[in-house]
Amino acid sequence: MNLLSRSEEIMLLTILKLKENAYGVSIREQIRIDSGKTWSFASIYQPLDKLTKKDFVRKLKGEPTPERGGKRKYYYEITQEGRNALLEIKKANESFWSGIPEIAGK
Amino acid sequence: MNSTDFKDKPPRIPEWIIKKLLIEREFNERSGDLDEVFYNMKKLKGVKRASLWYWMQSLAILPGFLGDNLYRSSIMLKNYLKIAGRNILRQKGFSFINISSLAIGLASCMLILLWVQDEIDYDRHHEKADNIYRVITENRNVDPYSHSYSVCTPLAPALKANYPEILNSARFRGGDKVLVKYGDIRNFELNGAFGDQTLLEIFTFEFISGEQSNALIDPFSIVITRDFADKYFDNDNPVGKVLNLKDKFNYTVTGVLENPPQNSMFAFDFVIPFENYSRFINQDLSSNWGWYSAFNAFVLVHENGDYREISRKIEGIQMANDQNSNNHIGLKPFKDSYLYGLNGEGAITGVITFSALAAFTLIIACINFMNLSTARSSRRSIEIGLRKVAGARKNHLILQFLGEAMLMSFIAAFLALILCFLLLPVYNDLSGKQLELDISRNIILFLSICGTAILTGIIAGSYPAFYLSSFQPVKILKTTIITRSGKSSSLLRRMLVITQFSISIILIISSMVVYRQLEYIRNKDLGFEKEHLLYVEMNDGIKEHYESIKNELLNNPGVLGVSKSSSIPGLWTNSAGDLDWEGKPDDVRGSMDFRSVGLDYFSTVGLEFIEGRPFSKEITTDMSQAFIINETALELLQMESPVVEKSFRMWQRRGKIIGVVKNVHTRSLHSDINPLFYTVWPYFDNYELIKINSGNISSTIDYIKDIHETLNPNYPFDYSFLDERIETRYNSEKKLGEIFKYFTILAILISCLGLFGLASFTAQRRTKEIGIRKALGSSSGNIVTLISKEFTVLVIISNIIAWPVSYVMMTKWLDDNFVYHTDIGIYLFIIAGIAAFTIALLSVSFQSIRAAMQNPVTSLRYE
Repeated sequence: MNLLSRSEEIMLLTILKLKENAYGVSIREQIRIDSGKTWSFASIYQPLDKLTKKDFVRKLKGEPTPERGGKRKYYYEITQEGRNALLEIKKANESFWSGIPEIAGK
Repeated sequence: MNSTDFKDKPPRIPEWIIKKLLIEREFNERSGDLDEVFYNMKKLKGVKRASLWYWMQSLAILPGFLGDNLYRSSIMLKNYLKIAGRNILRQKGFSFINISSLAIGLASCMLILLWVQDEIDYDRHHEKADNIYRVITENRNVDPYSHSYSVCTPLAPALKANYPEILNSARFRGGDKVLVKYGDIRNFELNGAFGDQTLLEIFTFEFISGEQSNALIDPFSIVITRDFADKYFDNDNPVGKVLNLKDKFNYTVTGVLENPPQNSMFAFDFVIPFENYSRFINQDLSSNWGWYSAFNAFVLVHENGDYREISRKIEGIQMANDQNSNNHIGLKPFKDSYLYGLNGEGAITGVITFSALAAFTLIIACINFMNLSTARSSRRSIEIGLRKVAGARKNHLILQFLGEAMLMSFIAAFLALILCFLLLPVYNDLSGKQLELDISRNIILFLSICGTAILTGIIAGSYPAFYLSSFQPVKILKTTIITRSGKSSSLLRRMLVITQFSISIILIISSMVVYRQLEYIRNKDLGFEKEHLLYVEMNDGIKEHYESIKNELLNNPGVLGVSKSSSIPGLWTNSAGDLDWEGKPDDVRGSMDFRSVGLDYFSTVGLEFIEGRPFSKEITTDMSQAFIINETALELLQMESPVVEKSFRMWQRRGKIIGVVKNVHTRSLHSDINPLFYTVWPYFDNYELIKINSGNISSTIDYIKDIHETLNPNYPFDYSFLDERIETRYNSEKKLGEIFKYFTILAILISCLGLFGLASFTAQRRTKEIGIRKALGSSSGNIVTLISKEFTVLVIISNIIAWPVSYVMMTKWLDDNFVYHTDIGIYLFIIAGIAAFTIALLSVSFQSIRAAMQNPVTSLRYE
């Protein structure tokens, strides 16, 4: 099985971190807080679409709210397969990083 | 957060773009996110920044989307083009008929448009054209008031001097025949003109050499055109050269003009200062308010000036200066003066007629195109079904069919352009114009060709595009070919064929009526003998030597009579107001036509007297105190018989009526026979009339020429035949008839092509049926009847529609244009009907006979 891509990994982590409140705007905002970079919506939707297709996340309909122009929120929730994939990439990351000496140099 | 915060919604346009570009599910799920960010941002940074951000979001989607789509559609376009090309090539006959008939239709349409454009552009090239007005006079002595452009000579300068609203004014008189001499060259020039220096200032003339600002200031200066200069001076510089006019006056060339455009009233050969007209006729007219001739006056008005208001102000100027006159002065926009004549005539009639002709031809061609396209496309329903099964959307099919039709119509437009280009020289001969086909400069023509091509494509392609593309693939693929050619479509087709043939029949009838009227004019008995009658325009020499020339001429047995008159019999007359007669009631207006004549006029021209006698040499009072009237005048005068010896007054001339002549057509057949009187007044006489024997004409003419040249050596001899001259009066009708004839033939040709195509389509579609019929014992004759029957019915219906329409149209044309006209015989309709019928049958029969002759075995095997 393929490993998750970097952006998929970030999506899953952010969704986990946001718990029940993971939807487009909040995910984008959380990424901005954590990385200091603003992502475009397109670069958020694209990995989210992929994850949905792989059944790593599930979409849940929310209620329409006035601050969204009367439109619904679509919440994302991580599935068991998503968690497994995340664990897998974590393990791989750890072994990639192990044995690396000082990166910053002397 | 309270609700007022949501007053500013995200901007509409980007929202709409996003909605269009994303698929529906994506939009529903995601636009909410965009809205939320928008509202947050609005709170923090203001609505402008938020909107800007929203805009950027929408635009950011575009490049990717467009790239994708272009790529995909270019693949489809390539496919469509390929299919369209294959379709055109596969059915070569159909495509040929289809494209060629449209090309012919478009080409004739283009030619007509060129003509119409030329008429509309008449004198529009002058830079100040919008602010130039022609001065008109309204004669209130007659009922209804008559209008003319003729004014007296002092009027134009007086208008400029007395009314500050009038910035400039100019007088003009054109079309004079003048003897011009330079060295050994001696010619009558037909288009000499008189004009003020201000004429050059008001209108736009292009000077090749000489100064526009002072070209016509010196009274003996002359401005010539390029052609004229080439004729007299070859390659020499004409400026400064001296030309002799009328064998009397010398003029120095002060300027050369680029040849004026043909569609201009200033298409003269040369122009000399206006005051020379007085010199030419030996009368001082500069302050003569009572002398009207073909003098035109033009004024330039300030941009903001209202000409109606100015007209009201200047209305009384003529009457104030001339007590006898009841003429009111007014202005008419110069730009409209060609299209809209003064008394309801004008070029606009021709423009409308020909535009209608163009439209008709185009409609016929379009109908062909539509009919053949729809007929063909119903055979393509399987292709449509397959495309649909393979996932083509309805829009794609619509685009495909429209595109195909458009491709063909553009090929046709291109061919039409070539055709038009090739036909233009012939057409110029026919129309007497100098038209040019220059697409790069003629934007209107270019646009109208493109527009027509697109429109034709859309109309022709719309039926298959919208109707066929809406079929359900299952139905299309299941049903058989024959039932699939829908009833509604063949009904539509039939109706279109009927329209086409109705128009063709109307055109046939119309051109026959025009032709018949021309024949009528040619053969109409005008009441006098116009045959073998020569007329010579009298120059000063002939006027001087008239009596001796006359006596010499009469010595020849070939010359039957010699006389003179002030106007050409059968064409026009002079007219006079301020008349009085014995017993004239006060409410009758004293205005009539008149013609001054020589003593022998009545015997020379062959007029019959009802009462009284002609002028006589023996009675001296006949020279200045005698009048002869015609029958209509007799009615107007309301005199009791005998009228002879009743008194009559014209201006200062008091005298008696000495005779009444039968009515003859003294003017053209366009108008009624007006009340007319004759009198002897040599000053007005302008034409020498010579009646000759019908035998040995050429030697008689040689003799006449000889006499003139011996007795009047300073002028070249020039003559015309009266009947030929009268015929030229109807040149516009003749031209109309000619052009009409050719375009009628073209229109019929196009209709036939269409019918031919349709017939072959029917024959092809019914191949199997014909095979079975033949196998069951049907004769070839039966088959021919079977196929021809359908079209025969259509042609008969077309006749029923076309007859009343053309009857009403042509009756109106005759009534509007001619007081004297032919009747529209019933046989014209029958001829037109039979002609249309025969033509239709011929074009159908080729196909039907071919179908009928086919061996049933081959046709049954046909798949």
